[in-house]
Parts: sequence; C-alpha cells; structure tokens
Amino acid sequence: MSGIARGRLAEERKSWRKNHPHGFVAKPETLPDATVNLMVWHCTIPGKAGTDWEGGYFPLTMHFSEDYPSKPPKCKFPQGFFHPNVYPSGTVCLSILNEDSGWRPAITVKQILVGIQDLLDQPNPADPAQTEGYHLFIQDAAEYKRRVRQQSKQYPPLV
Amino acid sequence: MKFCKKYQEYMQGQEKKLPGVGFKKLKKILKKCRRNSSSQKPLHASLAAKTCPDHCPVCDGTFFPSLLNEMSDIVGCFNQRAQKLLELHLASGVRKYFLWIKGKLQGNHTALIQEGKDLVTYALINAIAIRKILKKYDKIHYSKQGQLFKSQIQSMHKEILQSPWLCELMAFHINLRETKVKSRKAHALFDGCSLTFKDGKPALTCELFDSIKVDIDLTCSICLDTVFDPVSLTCGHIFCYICACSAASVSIVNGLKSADPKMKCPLCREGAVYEGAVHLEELNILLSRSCQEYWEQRIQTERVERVKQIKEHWDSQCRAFVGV
Repeated sequence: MSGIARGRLAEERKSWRKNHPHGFVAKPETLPDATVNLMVWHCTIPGKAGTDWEGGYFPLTMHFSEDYPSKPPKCKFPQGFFHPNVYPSGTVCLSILNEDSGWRPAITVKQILVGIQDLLDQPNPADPAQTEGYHLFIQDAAEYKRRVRQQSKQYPPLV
Repeated sequence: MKFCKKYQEYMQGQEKKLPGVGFKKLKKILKKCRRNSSSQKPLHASLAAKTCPDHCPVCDGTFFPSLLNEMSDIVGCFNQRAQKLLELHLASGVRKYFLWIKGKLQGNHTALIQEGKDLVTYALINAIAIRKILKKYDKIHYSKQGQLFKSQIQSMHKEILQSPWLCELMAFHINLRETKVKSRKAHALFDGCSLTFKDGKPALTCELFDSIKVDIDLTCSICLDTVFDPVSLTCGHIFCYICACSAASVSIVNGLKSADPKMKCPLCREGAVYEGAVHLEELNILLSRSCQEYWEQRIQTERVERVKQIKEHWDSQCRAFVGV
C-alpha cells in the first residue's frame, strides 16, 4: 500500500505549499544525501495568540507508516514536553490521532496541526498522558500557567 | 409560484405515475397540529414550544411514518429506473445488440437521454420537497426533530441525494450532451449538469429552479486526488477503487465484496458500507475524457500497484497450495 501513502503525502505537500495557516511549518525530512523522505515530516506549531502558549514555536515530528492514510501518523513533541496530553516520550495523545476513535483517512496534515494547536490551550483531563502536567492542571492552575509560559520562552521563533 | 404548487404541477405532468411526497396530506397533518396548539393561545414562542413539544403525538404517529414510506418508494423507484437506464446505455457486445433491438421497439436514443434528464429532475425536486416539509415541521414545533429525522434517513440510506445512481445519471447526462434533445415544458425546472473545476479539483454541479444547487465533490479523500475508477459506498461517499480497497484492508483481487462488515467509511465512519459499493462507470467515462493527461498518468501508477497486488495474491495462493 506504500504507493497510496506516498501519493497521498505528495498531494498533502502540494496542498500545504499552496495554502497553510500562518506561523505553522510542515516539511518532509531531507536526508543527508539531499533526498526527501516523505514518511517523516518536521513541523512547527505556534502557540495560539491570547493564550499562555503565545510566543512559543513548538517543534513536532510526524511519522507516517506505509499504511497511511488508513492508519494515523504518530506525532511527537520533544521528550519531556510539558502538557497533560503529551506522554513523557513526547507522543501526542489526541482522539483524531487514535485509529480506534477519531481518526479518518480524510483528515489532512493541516487539520492535525491545527487540532494539536487547539489541544495545547485546551487539554483534555479525561485522557491524561503525563502525571506532572495533569496534576498541576487539576490542582494548581497558577503553577500550571507559569510552567506553560516558561516552556513557551524555551521555544522562541527560529529566525 | 409556491413550491407546493410547482411540485404538484410537476408530478401531475409525469406521463408515468411515479411515487412522490404527499405534500397536501403532510401539510394537513401539520395544520391539524397547529390548530391544536393555537387553540391553547400561547403568549409567545417559548410557550408555544411547551404546548407542542419536541415529540408531538399528533404528528409523530402519522407524519414521520408516512414520510418515511414515501421516501422509501421514491428512492426505490429512482434507483431501479436509473439502474435500468444506465444498464441499457453501458451494455456491450451481444447484450447491447439485444437491448438495441428491444430499444428500437420501445423508443430511440433521444428518448433515452430525455429519460436520464427526467430522472435527475425527479430526484432533485423530491429532495427539495422533503427538505421543505421537514423545515415546516421544525418551524411549527419549534424543534429539531425534522433535522434529526433527516440524519436518521441518511443512515438508513433513504436519502435520494446519497444515491450513487444520481451521480451516475448526472455524468450520463453530461456524456451525452452533444445530442440535441427537445425538452418538454415540464423540464424548464432543470438547468442541466456540468463538470466544474475549482483549483483543479473537479465537482459535478447541477442547478435546479430557485437557484438550488447540488454539488458532488469528485476528489477522493484518501489520495486527495481526482477519483480514478470511482466507487460509491452505500453511505454515498465516493472514492477511487484502489483507495477504497486499501481503506477496507482488502486486495483488489478479492474486491470490496470481501470487506469485513466492521470496516468503516473513511469519511463518515459508518460501518458495513463496502459490500454494496457501486462502480460508477459513467463517471469514469466522463472523467477520463475531461482529465486525459491525469488519467494517462494515473493508469500507469495504478497498473504498477495492481500488478504488485495480483502478484502478492498469487504468491500467497501458491504457498497455500504447496502448503508452505
């Protein structure tokens, strides 16, 4: 099925270059021999304006399998990323990225990235993925906000 | 002219008696309900909503069952006639010759095209009639029951706009447009179908009177390209055949009929939609003519994928036979 996966990703790339949301970045990985690997994309998600995440430009890697788009991509922030719905490994826990619940082959890279941006400021406490982020979000809102702002400063825009 | 009158005129103008929406009867049911609620003289809308609640016993016992039966008849009749018509047009070899001789006795090629046009009009005008009567229900009851009924109907595949045969007939109409057809008066309702391209993405567009428009997107949401060798699942969504097979986790050799009923539609996540999938032959002809360059390119890539899958299939068959 790899033909379908690569064809779809080539279309996604074309569509992204034509039109994408402001501040976002999504590029397939370039290998040392200067060839492009469509199965891994390096992305950047900007923190939403007017939230504690504003000013941060968060790196995210999307790993596509040969079964894409029947199976969703695996989306990973850097290890130890602070958010209630991000595993310690950096993997994002989101319903639309779950094959058994919200994933549909019709969901595009653009929709995934916007969905993750929304998740940053609207965590889902019903589906926690890390202890620290979850406990602070539930029990200590002020400290949670401080940690989010601190993390946003750690990821300034790449000039 | 009011739609109700226009609709009745259209239905009476049909040579063959076709099933339709009992507009008058359904409006009578709603009027009766309105009388019941207004006799209690509500002061404003919120009170009116209380006197005629979401679940209205006067209507729900007669209105929805009656409408459901009518919709079933309309969709059944439309699908049956459209299928027959397209079979007549797409037949080949001895079968085509046989049908052609039979057709000579029944009517000519022009009549075939006219019937296609008539059927599209019939489908669209009934879709509008159903939409209007459900809107009226919600207006009288201050409810969303009509909308809810509409979505239930879609999951039961009784929504005429979901029918794969509508898409096929629209393509059929465009494919045969070169032939000049003298329209009868009743068909001033129908402004014809066209294949439009927006940002290089194709769509089937059909306009009816009152500037009501039906758009059928022809981009496969799996490969994000123009549908190639298109199939329509029973939920009404259209995909490339090879993409649908991939989504259903079946090989093209076994086909969609062998898909697990648990497999869901890639767009609406409805289950058991693959077994009754319909190959859209007319649409395939239309797109191959309209996007020739893309078609040639896609044929090459498809051939590679198909050969690969067939080879894998026979390898596994041989291994099973040998007992490896």
